[in-house]
Parts: sequence; C-alpha cells; structure tokens
Amino acid sequence: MCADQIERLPTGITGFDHIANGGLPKGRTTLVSGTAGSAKTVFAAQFLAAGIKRGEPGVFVTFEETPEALRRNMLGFGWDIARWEAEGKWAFVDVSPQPEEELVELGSYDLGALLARIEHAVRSIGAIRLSMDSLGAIFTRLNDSRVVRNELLRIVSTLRRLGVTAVLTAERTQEYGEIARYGVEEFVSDDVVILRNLLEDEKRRRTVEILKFRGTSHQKGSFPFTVIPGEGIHVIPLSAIELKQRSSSVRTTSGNAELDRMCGGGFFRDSIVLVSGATGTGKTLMATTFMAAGVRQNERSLLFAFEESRDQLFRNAIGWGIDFEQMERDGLLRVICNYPEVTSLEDQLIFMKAEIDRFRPQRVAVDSLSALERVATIKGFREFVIGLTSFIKHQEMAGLYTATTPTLLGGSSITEAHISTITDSIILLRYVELFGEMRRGLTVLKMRGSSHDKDIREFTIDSRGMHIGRPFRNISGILSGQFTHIAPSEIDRLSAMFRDDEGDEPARDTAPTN
Amino acid sequence: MSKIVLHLYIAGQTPRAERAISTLRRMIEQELAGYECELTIIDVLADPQQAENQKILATPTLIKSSPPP
Repeated sequence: MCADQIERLPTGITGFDHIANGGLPKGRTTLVSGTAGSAKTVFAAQFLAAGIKRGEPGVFVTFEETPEALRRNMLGFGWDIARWEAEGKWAFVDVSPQPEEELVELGSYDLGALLARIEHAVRSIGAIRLSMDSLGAIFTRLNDSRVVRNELLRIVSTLRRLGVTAVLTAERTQEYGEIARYGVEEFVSDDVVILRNLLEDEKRRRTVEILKFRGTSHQKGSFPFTVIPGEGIHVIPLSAIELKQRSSSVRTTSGNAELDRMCGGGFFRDSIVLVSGATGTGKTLMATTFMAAGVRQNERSLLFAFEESRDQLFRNAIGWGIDFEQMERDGLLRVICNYPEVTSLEDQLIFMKAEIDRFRPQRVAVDSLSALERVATIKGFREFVIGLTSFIKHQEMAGLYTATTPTLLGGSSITEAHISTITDSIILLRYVELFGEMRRGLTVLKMRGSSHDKDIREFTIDSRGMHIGRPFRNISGILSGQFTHIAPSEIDRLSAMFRDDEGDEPARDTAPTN
Repeated sequence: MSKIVLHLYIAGQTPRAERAISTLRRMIEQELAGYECELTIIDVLADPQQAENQKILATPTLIKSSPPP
C-alpha cells in the first residue's frame, strides 16, 4: 500500500476516525448527506465540539436552526456552546430564516455578504473547523438556485484558501438514491459521507458510510452508529476491528471440575464460550457457577442478565449454594439486569462496554444472547455479537454467553448459527428422552486450541449445582433429537471395531464415520 | 412625516454595487423627492460585523430601517 499523501484531521467523533482511517481530509470540505432525522446537525455540531476539546476553534454556519435553538438542543450532549462562544472558541454565522423579515428578491445579486461574514468569523476566532448546516434550507429560501450553487462553490473555495476543514450537510430524499438534493455534490464532491436512518423490520438502525474520500483511503461499507446523550454520535467500527488480540494458553476454571476436565483442563483465560441449550437445561446455572468460580479465585466477575431479574437470579444462586449478595458486597461481583427492549442493540453495546471499562472484570457472562436477538435485525445482532466479542477479547477476559434453542429436543438456534464461528468453544446442553424420562446431556462440541472430551455425558442438577456423570452409551441421535436406543451387545461390538491399537482408549478423538 | 432611513449593503465596489447605488440615488432624488431620506452604504468586506449583526445574506441588500411598513 502506498503512503497516504493527504493529511487528516481527526474529527474526535468516537469510532468515526477509525472508519475514516484517521479523520477527514484536512483543509477540504466534506459533504455529509442524509435524510431528515439522520443526525446531520449533531454530526456538524459534534465535529466542532470535538475540535474545541482538542483546542481547535470552530465556526458554525446555520441555515436552518437558530443559534438559540442549537445552544439549547446541543446542551443535552454536554456541549456548552454559549460558554465556548464567550471564550472565543465557537462562533455562529446565523443565516437561519428570520420570521419577521420580509424578503423581496429584485434584480441580480450574489451571496457576497454571507461570504464576508464567514470569512470574518473564521478570522476573528482563528477557526480550524467549520460546519454548514444545512444546504437545503438556503436553496428553498432563495429562488435562484443557480446563484446559490455558484456562491456555494465560491464559499467552498474560500474555505480551502483559508485552510479550514469543513463539514457541509445536505438533505437527501431517499436512503438510497441520489447523494443529495439540488445537485450539491457536483461542486463539493471530493469527500462524501452518508448518514442513514433505516427502518428494518420496524426497528430503526442508523448507519454511516464514507462514500468517497478523493485520493485517499477509508473503510468501505456502512457502519452502525448511535446517538447517545452526553456524548453524541458514537460509531461502532465493526469491520475495522482488528484480529490481533493476544491468545494465552492459561486455563481458568469453569466452576465445575468435571467440565474443566472435559475441556482439557478448563477454559482458556481469554476465550469466549457459548453455552447453548433449551429452556431449563441449566444455562443460567452454568453462568452462575462460572461467575462464582471467578469470585472464589479473587477475580472480578461481571454478569449481564437479560432474562431474569436480580431477585430471581440471586434466589436461584442461593438455591445452588452461591451467595451473590455477599460477593457483590465484597466488590468482586457485579450483576446488571435489564430488559433488552429498553434500548437499541447499538446503545446496549456501548452501555455494556462502558460497564466493562468501569468494572474491569476478569470474566464476563451474558445470559442470554437470545434475549437480545429479539430486539434487533439479524445483521444488527451479528454486529453486536462481533463487537462485544472482540471487545471482550481485547481486554483479555474470559467470556461466557448463553443461547437458548427454540425446540426442547435437538435443533440449533439462530443465535448459534450466527455466532458459532465467533466463539472459541461451544458447549451444548440437551434434553435426552430415555425410556419415558427426561434426562440432561452435555457435550463439548468445540474447543479451539485444545483437545476435549467427545462424549455426550449425562448430568444432573441439585442443590449443589451441576454434576456431570457418565456418557450416554446406549442411545444415539441426541443432538438431532431423534433418539435411537441401542442394545448393549451392539455397543460392545461397535467399540471393539474402533478400538485403538493401545487398546485402552476407545475411539475418542476420531469420530466413527460410515 | 418621519424620516426614511435606508441601509444598502454591498460587497466591494463591484459593477453590481455601483448599479444598485446609482439606481437608489435616482429613486431618492426623483420619486422620494418630497421625503426626508437618509441613505447609508455599508461595504460588508470592510465591516463584516455589521453584516453579521443585521444577518445580511445576499448583496446588494437594501434595508428600510424606518418607518415600519
């Protein structure tokens, strides 16, 4: 790859610089286009606010909202524009419609006054950044759009001469289609960013896409983002996540000695384990034991619960002899319960990351992912899981997710299908129907980087937790849910066929085929 | 009869500005001869703050400050 010749100005918008490979091209004007409600104004304001935090003053040219409205609306993001104005870091050029003013267009004119005002504002505070929001408003106010277009071209070239990096917002009528109305991309087309606010399966999803940066590189495709109070736009740069987390061979206990043995000595310290099973098979128990085992080793443990309330969880834990309340008092455990429906998945991810950052745990459990799947589109859910997994792995924490299968016997869930390649280990919990009785079976399906027990073992749950017993020997078809019982003599004959040369190890690591 | 106060905003001494000024002068002399008139010409390039205060967008712009309509 050749060296990037074009200098960047980091925007300071979380995640955006990542997908922009460093920031907006310096000294140029970037067109930010989006439909109504796609957070264009927030982007424009945040560009300046983030600049001020880096010591770069900015000018906001508003064609639409009045400065009063902007000062008031942006306060919710923690941007005190009035104070910045007093400190000479922020200046408004107010071109918003004045309701009391009667405008009569006569003869030929240009926007020389606007240009002079912008130039004056830039010079008076020594602006490095400038935002213009939004172009559509000025086109609707003046009849002669040809003049407006020419004059905007003049403004953009003046900004370039002044060395200001600018953001220019424009409306689009559709999420997919022409870049912006009034053909504005024709004169500020070097750099185009598109903000989308899509409605998919009745769920809103915001995405940002860098359409082009002329002569320089950026991440392709659209990335989800969210607008959160106190921060503003937060881009989640998924495909920009680098697969470079370190991998350790240190094992850590799952909380169940027998399960550790089945996994070849415990979970890896920085791996993600997916526990999948039908309702009531013991997933929450496994998450609970995993947490308790961490606390017992003096590790900080964080549990996100999306299905059960705190009271339920704590009561269940007591039932298995685990005192969550005491662990929380000791500061080693934190249990966070909320309903997935209260917020979008993007916000949920940011919230979870913030909690992880605050608590700095050594292990994290999510119970269950399937509950989160309800509130998002398949794509959104997948992005969420990838985002969370890579975040957890970068922190070098052990993670455990649970997923619920929709059917009682056999079957897999959508959750599994989408995330099974992302997780390092998969443990299946399944009901086994045995001569008119429901038993439970457990198997380690995959254990990345380690050998593991291939048996499907029976387990029971009592007041002391989970007890893993012997493999099911005379039954097959457990994973498909279609059981076939096999006579003991047949089993002996089959195992004799696959017996290793040493004779003592019945075929374990090579599954018999045919 | 109150005085008519007019402000004309121009951006530099362009032909367009010159034409606006001469048209305005002729109007004041011929059609508003019976009124007391005060015309101020403001060059936004020289005084951009004034343009900012009055929120002037285009040039040339003529503002009738008084009397109210």
